[in-house]
Parts: sequence; structure tokens; C-alpha cells
Amino acid sequence: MTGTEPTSTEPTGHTGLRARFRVDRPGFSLDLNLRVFPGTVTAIVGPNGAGKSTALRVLAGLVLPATARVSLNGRVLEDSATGVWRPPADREIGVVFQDYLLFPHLTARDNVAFGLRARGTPKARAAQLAEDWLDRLGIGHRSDALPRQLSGGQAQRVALARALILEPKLLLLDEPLAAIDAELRVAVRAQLAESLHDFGGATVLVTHDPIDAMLLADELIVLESGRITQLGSPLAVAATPATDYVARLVGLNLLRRASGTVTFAPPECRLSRSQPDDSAAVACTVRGVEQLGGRLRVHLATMDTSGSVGYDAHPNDPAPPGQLLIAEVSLQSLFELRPVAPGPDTSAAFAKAGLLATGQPVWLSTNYPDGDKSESRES
Amino acid sequence: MRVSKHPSRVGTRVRFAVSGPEDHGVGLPGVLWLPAILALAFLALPLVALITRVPWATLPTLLAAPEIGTALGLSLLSASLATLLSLIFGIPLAWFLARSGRWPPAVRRLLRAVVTVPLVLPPVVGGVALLLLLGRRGLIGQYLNAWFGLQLPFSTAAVVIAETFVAMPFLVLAVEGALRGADRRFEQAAATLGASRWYIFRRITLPLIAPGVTAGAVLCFARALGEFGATITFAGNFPGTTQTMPLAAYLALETNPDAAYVISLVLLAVAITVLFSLRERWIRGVSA
Repeated sequence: MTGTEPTSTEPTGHTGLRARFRVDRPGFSLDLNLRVFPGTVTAIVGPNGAGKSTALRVLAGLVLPATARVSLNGRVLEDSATGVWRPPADREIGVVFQDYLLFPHLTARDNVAFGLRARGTPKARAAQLAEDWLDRLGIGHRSDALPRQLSGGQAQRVALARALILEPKLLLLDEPLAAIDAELRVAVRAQLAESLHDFGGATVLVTHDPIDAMLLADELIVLESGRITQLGSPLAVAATPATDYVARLVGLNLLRRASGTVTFAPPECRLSRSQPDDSAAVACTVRGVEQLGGRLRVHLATMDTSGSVGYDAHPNDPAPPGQLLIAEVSLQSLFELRPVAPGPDTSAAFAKAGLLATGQPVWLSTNYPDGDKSESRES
Repeated sequence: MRVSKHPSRVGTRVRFAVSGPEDHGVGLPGVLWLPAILALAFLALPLVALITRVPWATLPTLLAAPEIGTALGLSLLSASLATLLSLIFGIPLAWFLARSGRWPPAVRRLLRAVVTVPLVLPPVVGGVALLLLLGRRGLIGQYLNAWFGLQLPFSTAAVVIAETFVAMPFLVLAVEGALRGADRRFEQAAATLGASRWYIFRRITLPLIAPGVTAGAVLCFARALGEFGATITFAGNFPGTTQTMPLAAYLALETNPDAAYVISLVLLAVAITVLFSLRERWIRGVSA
């Protein structure tokens, strides 16, 4: 899918970020093509090692790609064809690094003022502007604090102020919420969304957290093993996952069959021990069971039924074996299958009873209660 | 189970059981105890002997005596200058060593060897080498003499040069370690904020490695203060001009032993001070 441009309506002129580059490392290559319009946020999501941070570092000028053409508002930042390469200082970018990288020996104010001071702004003026930015982000009262005295959320806002004070045309954020405690995440994310909304330039955000990506971004780019596997609005990506990774990211299952790919949420299915009447049921083996409140989350893998007696129910619509799926079923539905005395650790009791022992075959019906059948997509 | 016929031998089994519970059975063999204790005594007793022989009653008058005062002042001045020179030239050198990752390994090994040689070289050899470089007919010295009428040997400048030669490697290696340990991403963050390389070095790199620089400077100062061989070879032993404390102590030993003891005590006090000031900083600086 590399090379596909986002389908958003394109404003006139070469505004925003246009980037196409390739990075080659031993055993890894990253090939990315992206277009980010001013005032919009593009999130690059992907598993660890997909190349997300490398992509951000290329845009920042901290990694030299094998080939690249990057322009920002029509100004060429680098072009391997003509040998143009602008250093990070000359790119009009702001970077919020993972762990924020606030200078440990400088106060919050001096951290924010750093970029202005480096560009020759007089000390008093730089300090005043830094104060203004800290106030604007609601942490003016912490301007004398050293980074180690700041909470994660405060440090993130100092890092944001440090980047935004230079009025960059492109803001790059590397896992901006990874260092935030879970209980503060919602509030910090909301504040970040507000700051990004106020920012008039293009924003590229890298995250492994689908919720951050969905809530902060206008466009999603899914990066797997250095390649774009899906892009589009968060809504579109969530509705029609193109790969197993995206499906898991948005909490859906992808089941490939001869007739096409079926997408369904873990609760939208039923498990049975014996083959049901439903001709679309798929034979699976149990790989593990977790308890989730009053429900059980069952990890399954499709079975190789070719030649097995009693499992050749759907010869016309086979599902290739080895696909990993997740089913969520109520305890009640399992009680109906084989009543056992509910105990404090029900999943253990089931496992003991042999009902959901690892390796045991079960039948998965996907059209229950209303499994979504989408059209076939090649990936 | 057999009852031992030799109850006295029970004691031998536990006699050397000094190991902790985790290394039970593989503790220090008894045969090594004696040499270990002797080695410790050998290191500690001379200092004890020195402290017991210091004429404490006349200590203040001896310290105030002109020959000791002059040597002390000269020592402090030359060691301070040597440390300053080491900082000015050694930090950039440490930077090249630490950031030479892209250079060929052979070049890096050579650089490192050049920096390390003064650490292992007998100081007298260093003094001879300096004489052959900067002496009146030396490799560079002949031109200094011919063009500027400059004669470095046997001057206070020569003391500083000799001390710098011997002490700078301590600073370079300490700063290099700190630079290697420093998180370079801070420098990258500064670069994205528009800072020039020089600005980054001054405002980010140096403050980050400050503990390592301090540790290196303290070590460097201590080494310079105690310098003897290179100094006496290259700078000679002229009271007031090149006679530093170690030289004065050596000479006083024949004429005025009490003065020698006092000078030695002062140097010992400096060494202990350095040791204590480094205990924290050294570790932190290297791991910073």
C-alpha cells in the first residue's frame, strides 16, 4: 500500500508536510510516504520495531535516510536527488521526545526559553515568553522547578511549551503519553488534544497506543515492519481493519475464509463443544483462557481440518489454519454447555473440568448475535 | 554416623568460616590470610609512622617558615595552572576520544595509547622527553630560543608543563568516561531547538558531564601537586622558582627532617581530602 496518498481533500498550494523517504538498516527497511496538512494531526501507530520513532527522527533531521524528499510548506528540508539536507536547527520543527528529554540542569522556564536563547533572544525577553507559554499550558506555577521535580504530565507540558515557543511549522511527538501514569492519562490526553487543536501547524504523532491515536489524530497511518499497511481516518481504520495487527489494535477479530474476510468483535460469537447446525462455524483449538469480570476471554486458533474426520463441515468455505482469534463468552453460556459449580476461580474450574483446556477443539460461530460480514480485502 | 575420636579437630573446621551464608564453603582459604594482612599493614604503617613522627608542637612555626611557605605557594600555583591547562586542552581531547566512534579502530587505539602513555611512563622519562622537546636545543625549544629568546627549562613555566604532561591524562580519561555515559539525546533535543554545536556544548554537554569534569580535575590537581620526577628533570630544583613541595620534602630530609615530615603531612592531608571528595563524585561522574 506504500505510495498511496491520504484521500483527504487537499487544500491548494504546497502547504504542510510532504515526505517520502526510505531508511535501510541491516535486517530492516522503512519506507514511508506521508502528507500532513496544517492544523491536522497524523498519528503513526504500529507495533514495537515497526520504525515509528525512526520515521520521526528522519523528519527531525536526526537520522539520515537512504533516499528522501521532505518538504514543509513548500520549503525543501531534504532531497537526496539534489543533495539538499537541512540540519534539525533549520527545519522549523518542534519535537517532543519520548521521556521528554527536558534538560535536567535547567528549570522549567529555562528549558522552555532554551530555543529562544540559542537563537539570540535576550535573556529577560526569552524568560518572559517562556513564562507566558507555561501559563498558557497551565503550569506557570512550576516555572522554577527542575525537571526531576515535575510530574509526568507537567514535564510533558514543559516539553510541549519548549517546542511550541519557537512557533514551528511541524510538530513531532514521540509517544507523548507513554510516560504518564494510567490514572492521569485521560486528563493529560485531553489537555494534549486541546494544545494540538490550538496549534496551527502540521503534527505527526507516534504512538503504540490505539486509544491515543484514535483520540488525538485526524489521520492514522499504520506502520508494520517499516511499511504502511493501512491509512485513513480513525473511524475508517477502526471500522475496516486491513491486517491482524490493526484488528487487534481496535479490538476486533479478522477471520479469513475462502469466501472473504469476516470482521467481528470478540463478544459477537458463540462457542460450542459439538458442531452446531450453523454451516459457517469454524473449528478452533483453545490456546488460553482469561477471566474478564463476568466473562471469559478465550484465545483461539483456527484448526487445520483437512482430512480430519468430523471436522469437514465447510468444505466450500475453509478458513486457513493458524489464525489467532479472541472470543468473549459469558460464564452463563458455558454453564449451559457443561454445568459446573461456580467457584472463586471459575476459569481454573473450567480448565480443570476440561471444558476449555488448552488444545481442546471448540466450534466458533461468528454470526452471533450480529457478526459483521465485510467484503473481501487482500492484504 | 561416627563419633569423632578427636574432639579438638572440630574447631579447625570453623576456624576460617568467615564467608557469608551465600558463599559458604568457598570463602578465603586460610593460607591467604597472612599475606593479605601483611599487605594491608605494609600500606598503612608508613603513614602511621609519618603521623607519629610529625613534630606537632612546632608544626605552626615550621609551616610558616619561608622555605616551606614558598614551596607550598609554588606547588598550589603550579598545580592549579596545570589543572587549568588540562581543563582547557583536555576536555576537547576527551570529546574527540569519546565521539570518535566513526573513525577507524586503529586510529582510535593510537589516540588512546598516546593519551595513556604518560600514565604508565616513569615521570623521569617524561621529564627527559620534555627536555628533548622544549630544551634549549630541543625539537621545538631551539626555535623558541632562536626566535623568541624563550628558554622554558628550569623555570616555573617548566614546572607547570611537567605537571600538565603527567596529570592531564587523568582528566582526559575521567571526562571521556563521563562523555561516553552522557545521554546524547539531550544534545539532539537541543539541536532541534535551533542551538549551534558550540551552544549545545556549552549549555548542555558541559553541565551534563560536570561531575565527571570535577572528578577529573580533582584527580589531575592531586597528581600535579605530587609530581616529582618530571619536574626535577625538566624544571630542576630552584627554591622559589621550581622547588615544589615534593622536591622540598626530598631535599629537607637531609638538612631539616622535621620540615620534610611537615611537608609530607600536608601532602598526605591533600591526598586524603581528594580521596574523600572523590568518593561520591567519581562514581556519579563516570555513570552520569
